[in-house]
This record gives sequence, C-alpha cells and structure tokens, in this order.
Amino acid sequence: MTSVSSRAWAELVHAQVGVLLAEAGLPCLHIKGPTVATWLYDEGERSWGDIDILLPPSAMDAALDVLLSSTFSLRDEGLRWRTSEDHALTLWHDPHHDATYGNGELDVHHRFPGIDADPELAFAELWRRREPHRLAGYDVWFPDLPSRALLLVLNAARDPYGAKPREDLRRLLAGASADDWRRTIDLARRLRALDALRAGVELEPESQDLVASTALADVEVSAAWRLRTSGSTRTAVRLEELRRLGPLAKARAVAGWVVPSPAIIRMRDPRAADSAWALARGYATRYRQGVRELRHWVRERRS
Amino acid sequence: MSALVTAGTALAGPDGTAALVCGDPTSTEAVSAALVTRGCRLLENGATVDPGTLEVSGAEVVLLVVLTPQPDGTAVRPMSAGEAAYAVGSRATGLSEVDGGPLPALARFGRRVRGFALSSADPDAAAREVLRLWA
Repeated sequence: MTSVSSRAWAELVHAQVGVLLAEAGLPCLHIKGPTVATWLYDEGERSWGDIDILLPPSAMDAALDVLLSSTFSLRDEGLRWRTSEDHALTLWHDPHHDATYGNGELDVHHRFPGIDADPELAFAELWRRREPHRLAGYDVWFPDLPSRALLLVLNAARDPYGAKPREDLRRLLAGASADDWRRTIDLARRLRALDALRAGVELEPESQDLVASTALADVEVSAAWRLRTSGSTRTAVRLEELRRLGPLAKARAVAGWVVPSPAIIRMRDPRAADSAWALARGYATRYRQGVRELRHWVRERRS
Repeated sequence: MSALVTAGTALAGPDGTAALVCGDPTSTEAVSAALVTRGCRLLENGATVDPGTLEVSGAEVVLLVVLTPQPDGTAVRPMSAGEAAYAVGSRATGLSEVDGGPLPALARFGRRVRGFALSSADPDAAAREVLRLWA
C-alpha cells in the first residue's frame, strides 16, 4: 500500500476543520499556509502544515466546543481566548485524545494583528468577500485575493524575520499589479489596517515606488509597528501600544501583563507545568525578562 | 476578461463603492437621476461588472436595488443571496461568455452584494431609501 504524504495529511486535517465548522453552521475562513501556497507558489514549492483559521469572536465558544469534542485538544490547558494576550488560541490535532501529537497545530484566530477595526465587523467584511476552494476534495472558504494580500503583508509585519512570510511578501510585491494594490489598500482602509500594511510592505526595499505611488504615502506608521518591524522587544511594542489605549483598556492590559494567569506562564514556558515550584520559576523568569526589556526600552527611548 | 453585462445602472457613492440599480426601466432612470442630484456619480448605463472583483469602472458593487413601480408609498424587502444572484443573472446578456463561467460569478455576486427589492411611487423617496441602504 502506498503511504500518504505529510502534505496530504495536512490537507485532510485542514478540510476536516472546515467541514466540522460548516456542519455546525459556523463561519470559518482558512488563512495563511494553503491560501498563499496555492496562490503564489507552484505545486509543492511552499510547505504548509499547521492550520490557521479566522472566526468572528461571537463564534469562538461554539467553534471551540465543536473542535474540542472532535479530534483536537487545547495545547495550553487552562488558557482562555477571552483572557489570553494572544490573537489566537492554539489547539493540537490529537486524534486519540491521549496527548499524542497528530498532524500539526490549529491556531483559531478571533482577530488578526494589524487590523484595528472591531474584530466582529472585520470578520464580516472578510467573510463577505470569501471565495470557495477545495482541500482534500472538501469545500472550504478562503479569503479573496485582496484579503489574502492584506493578511500576507500584516503577517510579514508581525513576523519580520520569518523566512516564509518574507518570501511570501517578495512574491506578492513581484506579482501584484497597481489595481491589485488599489483593492488591497481600499480593504485596509475599511478594516483600519493601513498603518500595519505600510509597515509590512516597507520591509522590502523594492516597495518604495509602491508606497510613493499609492495612498500609502499619506499613511503614518505608528511607533508600535515601527518597533515591531524593526524586531524590537515584545515589551517595547506593548509599551507603545499602551499609549493608544483608553484608561480602562490600559488598566486591564497592565493588570494582565503584571499578573498573568498561570496558563499564560505555562504557554510561554511549558516546563512551568511540571510543579508549583516550576510555575513560580516561570513567573520569576517572566518578571526578570520584563525588567530587562523595560531597561532596554528606556535606553532606546533616551537615545 | 469577459464581463457580466447587466441591464442596470451603476452609480458610485461618496465612499467610492458602487450601487447597481435595475428593474423597471422608467423607475431606474428616474431614481438614478434623483441619486445623481444627491451627490452620486453615474458610472454606466448597462453596467459592465468585472466577474472577479465585481467592480464597475473601478468601484466595487456593494448594493443591488431592484425597482418595481407601485401606486403609493415606498416598500423595501431584503433579498436572499440566491435571489440577488438570480436578479442580476436574469438581467444580464452574454452570460455564457463570462470569464470563469456565469455561475461562479453570480454566486460571488450573491455572497458579496446586499440586494433589496424596492417599490416606490416617488423617485425622490426611492433615492433617499437607496442612500439609507447604502450607508
């Protein structure tokens, strides 16, 4: 019997997620990996394994119920999507529910970094523009091309040293027409993502003409996105982000930051799950790192 | 690319998006004129819609209004995605020539464009209603 390739397994698990949520009547967009690989690359040229899906926040609880009662488990036990700092909750494919690693991780996104519009409204706009696609012979939904281009650039802005996001960006810049960019910029305007879009395209020096010849020329990139795309520390980015928040959101962010839940400590350092002592060590490591990055940020600001 | 050529009138709004107004020809002409006096820009009569992007002259169609005359008053009814797709398809010419095939283009139209059936005796009242739906 011929063995099934890892790509085929990955495609099948992607399809499984799409079908499970569609059967439950929940909207789900596949994003990143396959949506880029099948668009900007030749067959087999770009690998993709882990699954990324985008949902409206209002569908998160129901979707997690469906996925966790199927063949997925929480990667970080105790972590809750509403209270975690991240834009996504990670599950892993756990076909036998015995914590044996299956075919990759599943990131369930309830928002996308760089999109400042209300996540529910942003999803509605992306969902309106969805396009049908087939994975492993099953029907799934991909974002349309302007949406894919926007998410690709925002992903590169968030991960400026990632090899795949940067190559994706180079290929997009090489292939997209002026009309393609007009549509992507229009969408970014609707989703309040112009700031991160400009920060992302400017990662590549050849984007100078693009920025100069489009509405991006009038967009001011925030300090937080400048720091992010220049590879600054997480603490520095967060301090800049704090400045943009209202008093209540600011207080909430600081509280979550200073006293994170044990689940967040375990997510950052899986060894912290071993014992109470290991958890305390995890907190200590986090505080030490925070202080170090804070000092670095102060020095950067002064210089 | 072979476009979706419809028997409707496309107008651009202040936000750069487009509305496609179709249905009874007399009502379509009167309501389109009323929309132009309210700041909309006439793009095309017999609108040529790009089947991939749903753009008319670079403006994305986000609203479909199918007009029917009625003796008095104004009534609006939201259309389902399938109904909106059918309303456009049944008013299009050369469907078999549409790039990528007619059905994917019409399905895309149904997913992306909000459709409304609008009955009105008064073009001005109908135009006000179109602007309200567009907002």
